[in-house]
Amino acid sequence: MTAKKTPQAAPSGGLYAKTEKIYPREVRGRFARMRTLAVFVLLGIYYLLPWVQWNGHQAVLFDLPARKFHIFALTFWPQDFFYLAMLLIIAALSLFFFTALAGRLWCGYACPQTVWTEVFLWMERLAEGKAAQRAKRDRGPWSREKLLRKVWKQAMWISFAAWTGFTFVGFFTPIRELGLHLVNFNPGPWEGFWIVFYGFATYGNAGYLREQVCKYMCPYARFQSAMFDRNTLIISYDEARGEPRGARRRGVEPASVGLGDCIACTKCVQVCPTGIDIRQGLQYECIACAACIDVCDDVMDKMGYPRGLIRYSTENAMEGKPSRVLRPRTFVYGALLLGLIGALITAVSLRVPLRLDVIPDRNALYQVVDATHVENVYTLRILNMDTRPHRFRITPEGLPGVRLVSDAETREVEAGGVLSVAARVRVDISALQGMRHDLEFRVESLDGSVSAEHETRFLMPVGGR
Amino acid sequence: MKRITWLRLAGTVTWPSFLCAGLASVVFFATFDPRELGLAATFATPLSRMAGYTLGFLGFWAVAGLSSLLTAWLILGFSQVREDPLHED
Repeated sequence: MTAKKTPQAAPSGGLYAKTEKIYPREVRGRFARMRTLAVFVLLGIYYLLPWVQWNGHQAVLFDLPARKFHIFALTFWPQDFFYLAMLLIIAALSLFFFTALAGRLWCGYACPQTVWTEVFLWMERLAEGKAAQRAKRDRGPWSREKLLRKVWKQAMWISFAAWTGFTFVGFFTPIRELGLHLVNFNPGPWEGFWIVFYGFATYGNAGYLREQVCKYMCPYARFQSAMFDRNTLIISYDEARGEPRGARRRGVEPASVGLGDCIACTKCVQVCPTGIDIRQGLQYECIACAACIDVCDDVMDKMGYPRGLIRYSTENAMEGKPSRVLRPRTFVYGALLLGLIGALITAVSLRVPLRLDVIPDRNALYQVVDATHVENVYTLRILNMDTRPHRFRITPEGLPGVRLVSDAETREVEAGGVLSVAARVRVDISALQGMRHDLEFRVESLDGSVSAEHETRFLMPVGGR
Repeated sequence: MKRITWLRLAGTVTWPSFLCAGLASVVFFATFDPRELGLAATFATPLSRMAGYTLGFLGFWAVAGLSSLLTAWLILGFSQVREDPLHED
């Protein structure tokens, strides 16, 4: 894979062509406030949730070592994979719905990449000052001050990334114990690996890769345009109003100098975290953060022009055609979404926290007892997925005169426990013709709150009697 | 003509394969318990679940990454001139 450097490849710095670093200018305004709010809400949930306790256990714990997911009062097992699949479908559909409605809302406000980049930018600002200062200092020679500022930034980045990695692993192994182990410098090797891995990924993605993740790596950024139509709200520059652009003094009436409303201050370009010019129209790099709207509104206010030269608008509206946010596409997505959410809630509330597996004994297919009865032996696995213990009664059903030969009437299974029971089922030899019969096991808690069934086969001697 | 950078190539290969490996891990380990797989393996190894998940994920990632790398290679070739196949300025 070593590449030869040829004259052709040389001009922009060889194969290791460096991407121009972007220093997004800071911005204030409505959408910036919403983004900040989203950062606090989402990261607040992320960093605090693992510490919340519920009935003596971690409220949200995807306990991978124990293969159980605890979400407040609910406990999910691998057997409940169906619900997770449904949740993923709902998540995908929500993405479709919101994209059809208002473009890349996900990218601008909720994507972890955006959210963590925002925080890393704050830290960078804290240590190294505003965008212009940073760019100037980066170009300049190394000095004591530059070094100190860089060290200070790295210290903040690395500790924040490490805490992020720790929190991430805290969703999968109990965070309080993990914290204790960590204080003693003794996390498990795999836990340690994941803390470092996730921490490093955060550091690299939010600190360095930033907009390149969105531009070059993100699949959603590429296929989201398929969900756009002419009625999707997108961040648009009002070309008809803005052009021809040009500089002028404050308060000058645009028409009087033969210009549009755009004063060509390029602030919309300076604030853009992906370094594009929104005035060239919608581009795939745009993550819809709306920073350009905020900064342009600010400029329009100063000039005494109406706001909204750059605004959320639809393609239809920009062309002066009627534009409808409520349209078949949003209705269909919305209805599907509501239907699925309803189905998931119903399914979870109707979920029976009990599972029964029946494995017929493979060593002896059947056994004739006293020449009058036939016995089959099974292993029953009773999985109590409830949060409290239950006492169960096991009954075989579906065959005439069938009964269980057992030393215990009922069996106790602790909360979240699995019990294996050997069950001998006996049938009168004259009661059945043929070799193979269907048998159903039924397990019911004594209080009648949960029950489960499992069908299996019952084998008779060849040729009957 | 724009050329793809090594960084971009690395990102294009590692990130989608990372996502796919994540999805594969969820589906696979919801179906199989890594501890039992470790014991049922040809060279039976006592494996903790965390070890199983981690190795499984990294394995999926390696396989998916290799596939992505081959795809990238077939499309781009690692020749010295790297035209951007998706966007031309």
